[in-house]
Amino acid sequence: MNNAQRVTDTNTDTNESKPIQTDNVIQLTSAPLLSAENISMLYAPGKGFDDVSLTLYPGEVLAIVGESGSGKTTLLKSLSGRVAPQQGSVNFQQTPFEMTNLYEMSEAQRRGVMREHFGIVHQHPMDGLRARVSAGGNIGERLMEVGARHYGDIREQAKTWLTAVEIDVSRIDDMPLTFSGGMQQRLQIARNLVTHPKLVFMDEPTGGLDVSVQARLLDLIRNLVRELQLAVVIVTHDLAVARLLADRIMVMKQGKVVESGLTDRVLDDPRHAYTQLLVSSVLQQ
Amino acid sequence: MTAIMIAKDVHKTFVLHNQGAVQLPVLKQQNLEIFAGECLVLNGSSGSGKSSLLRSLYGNYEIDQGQLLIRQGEQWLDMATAEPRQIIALRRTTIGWVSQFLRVIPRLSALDIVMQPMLENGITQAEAKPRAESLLAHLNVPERLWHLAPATFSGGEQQRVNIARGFALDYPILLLDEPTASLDKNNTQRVIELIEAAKARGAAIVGIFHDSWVREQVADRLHQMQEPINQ
Repeated sequence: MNNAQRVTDTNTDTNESKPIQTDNVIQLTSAPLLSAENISMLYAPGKGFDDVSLTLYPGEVLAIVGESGSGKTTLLKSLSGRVAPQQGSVNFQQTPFEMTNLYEMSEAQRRGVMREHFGIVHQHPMDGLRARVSAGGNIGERLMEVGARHYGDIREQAKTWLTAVEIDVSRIDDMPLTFSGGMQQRLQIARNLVTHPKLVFMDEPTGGLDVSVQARLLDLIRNLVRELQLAVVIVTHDLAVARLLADRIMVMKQGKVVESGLTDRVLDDPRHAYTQLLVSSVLQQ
Repeated sequence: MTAIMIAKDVHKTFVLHNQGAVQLPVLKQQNLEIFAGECLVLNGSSGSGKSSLLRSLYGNYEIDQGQLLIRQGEQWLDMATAEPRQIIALRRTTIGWVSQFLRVIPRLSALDIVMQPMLENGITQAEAKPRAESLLAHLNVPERLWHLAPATFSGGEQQRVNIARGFALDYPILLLDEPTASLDKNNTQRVIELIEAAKARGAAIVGIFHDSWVREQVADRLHQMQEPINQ
């Protein structure tokens, strides 16, 4: 017996075309961690970014992609409290259910928020590390900034984090300049995560690294993001990096967001001309 | 019996902006209902939009018109208008996906890949590991490969790792895009057993199967696609 013969051709059913009532059933209760409303920062026409809005929830990874000069890095700086936008507001959930405008607080308050809740991973690791301080010191310094004082504890935590980012603990007293590029980048990540930020901003964290080193770093970031339930905004021009790490993607061109959505939807079914060009320009593996 | 997923009047056209704005209509007026415990097979010739329809059901393709309704208790969620994070939540708990290609994640072993959806749903390592091992064993993936990253595996081995991953959780809805495409008959039979078991526990399955003998074994109903829409 073969019941597959029971063909139902439902395609002809056209008379009842009224849409069914739907509700927003999946209740995702958490409030946004970060929101930007119509922010703009233009150094010159087409230079910077223009009228960007976004919302980021706890544990969510958002990738901002686009070619050089599309305003990605400037946008990241504005989102992370480092460049005040000319227009619009950037709001952060400092205490539960209360959003505070990052650029309406005092400089000191903003620095406090950034120190306590944000991590910032620069493309060039030495921009985010202190060259004259040992690896352990680079990690410990962040702990001391948020109030840790016990030397033994700080050193223990530094060791734990070196292990977490796959750096041999025996290198704890070495200077970061003696490390390879990949190790420096992992040290920068450890320095940022040791204080358990809620939100990490990354600017091309794998740029300039060898492919094999890149894969290791990406895998590490992926695991840490999941284990620590981090929210991340990552700027990258590499679509494969976005696909591997990000839940959502935002495509920028000349300072404007041209398309955004679920990562695999945007990459597999790009709708804007520029996204189609980006996706089709990647060599197939 | 009420459907657990309904696609209603679904339309989709690709517009290729960089190739003279060519319009490729792929889905037109598609309607289907999916029920628990049965396997619906999308049937039609190459280019008739089977894969596009399946991808739309997963939220991987965005439709231009229509609704993709998923039942959540007494209510319906429309995937066509849902927020990305709602779709992510749905994929974690409700809709499973098995394609013919494994997207390899650098450095992850075959066993880790299969365990991942379980761990993401809060299942403990101790529970997830034996389940993953039994799936890999059932699909004849040699034990010596379990702890290796699948980048160097053969196509069929990668596909079976992918299938094990797709069946690791008891998703209420399972979408299968030619899961047996590069498998021999013996391994295909193993996949059919997994499909039958999933149906028996009440999963709703929508699939595309190239081999007619597989189709005949698993299909409860066929959804006939229209013939390719020509310009």
